Amino acid sequence: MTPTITHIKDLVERCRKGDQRAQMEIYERYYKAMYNTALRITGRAAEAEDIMQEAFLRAFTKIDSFKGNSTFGAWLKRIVVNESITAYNKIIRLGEVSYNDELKNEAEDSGAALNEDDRKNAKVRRILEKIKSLKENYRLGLTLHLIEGYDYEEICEIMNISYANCRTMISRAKTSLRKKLQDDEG
Amino acid sequence: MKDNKFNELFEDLNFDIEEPDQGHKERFFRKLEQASATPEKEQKIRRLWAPVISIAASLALVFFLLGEYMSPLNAANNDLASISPEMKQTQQFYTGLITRELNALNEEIGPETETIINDALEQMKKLEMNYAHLEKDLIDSGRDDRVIHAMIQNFQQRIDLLNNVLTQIEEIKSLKNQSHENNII
Repeated sequence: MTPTITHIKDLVERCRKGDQRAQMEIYERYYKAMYNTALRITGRAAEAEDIMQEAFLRAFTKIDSFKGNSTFGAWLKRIVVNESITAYNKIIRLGEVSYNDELKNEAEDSGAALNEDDRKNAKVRRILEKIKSLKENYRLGLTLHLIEGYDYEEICEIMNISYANCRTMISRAKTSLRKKLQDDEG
Repeated sequence: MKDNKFNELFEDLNFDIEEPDQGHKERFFRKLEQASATPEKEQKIRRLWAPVISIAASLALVFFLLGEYMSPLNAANNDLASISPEMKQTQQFYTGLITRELNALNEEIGPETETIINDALEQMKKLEMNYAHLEKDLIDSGRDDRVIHAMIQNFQQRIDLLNNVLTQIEEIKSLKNQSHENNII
């Protein structure tokens, strides 16, 4: 673990100087996690890539404000989350009709789950599907809490709601998700 | 216990299963190049131009100050006319009106009206001094709208004053006529 961390620190230092190769390397390292985060929050594949890339550019331009209090990944992720929430709110406000690219992964799904990885992926997909089927704010809250790993305080800040509201919402969302998963199994 | 199992479910699963569309790295690289290309260019230009501009600015400042001291004629630049053509028109309109009224006032000078006219001229002087102040303010404030407004108000005050005096003179005259007539009846 330590070598990677120092390596990241090294990369960040080079990014501070505007080294493009270092920036691309950071992108390489984090794009997948950041893309998935943006995708889970906005639910749009087309927007998620843009948001993720804009967040990277933003992070590189204001890299001086990264003081190293948290890990670089967490700092970057927070930017992605904030940008995603902004984009998501815009989508909601404009009332755009969501386009779910359900055929996109059709081929993978229909193939038999042969190895352990595929089985895990299928499980993940099932859980994500269930989360998606929840109420919008439940979906967002649970995504932030269970998958992105934010605590209540962070979530109420991100979603701009009160602490009590946040707690209640997440606990209800959890109950509702658990029920859905059980129904599915049973 | 159920909750524990539920939380564990999320802990050992990797949810990052999706991949962005093909070619996202190239797209990002282009964005990155674009973003880094623009500020750099600007910086270079600024570095080249900074000394030239600073020299030009100091020269302009010297000329401006010299001009200010050398030619007192430039003082006329401080008035309303220097702000915009509309303001120039406004100023011409008011100054014309004021001189006309002053002329009318001068014609009325006589034994009965002398005190009131002298008083009016005294008030006019005060307003003119006020106006001179405002002219200075106009430069100090960098042509603040409030100062412009105050200058126009000053013009209007002067005109109001002159109008007032003229109507009072009229009254004095008509009063005299009337009292004369009254005496007849």
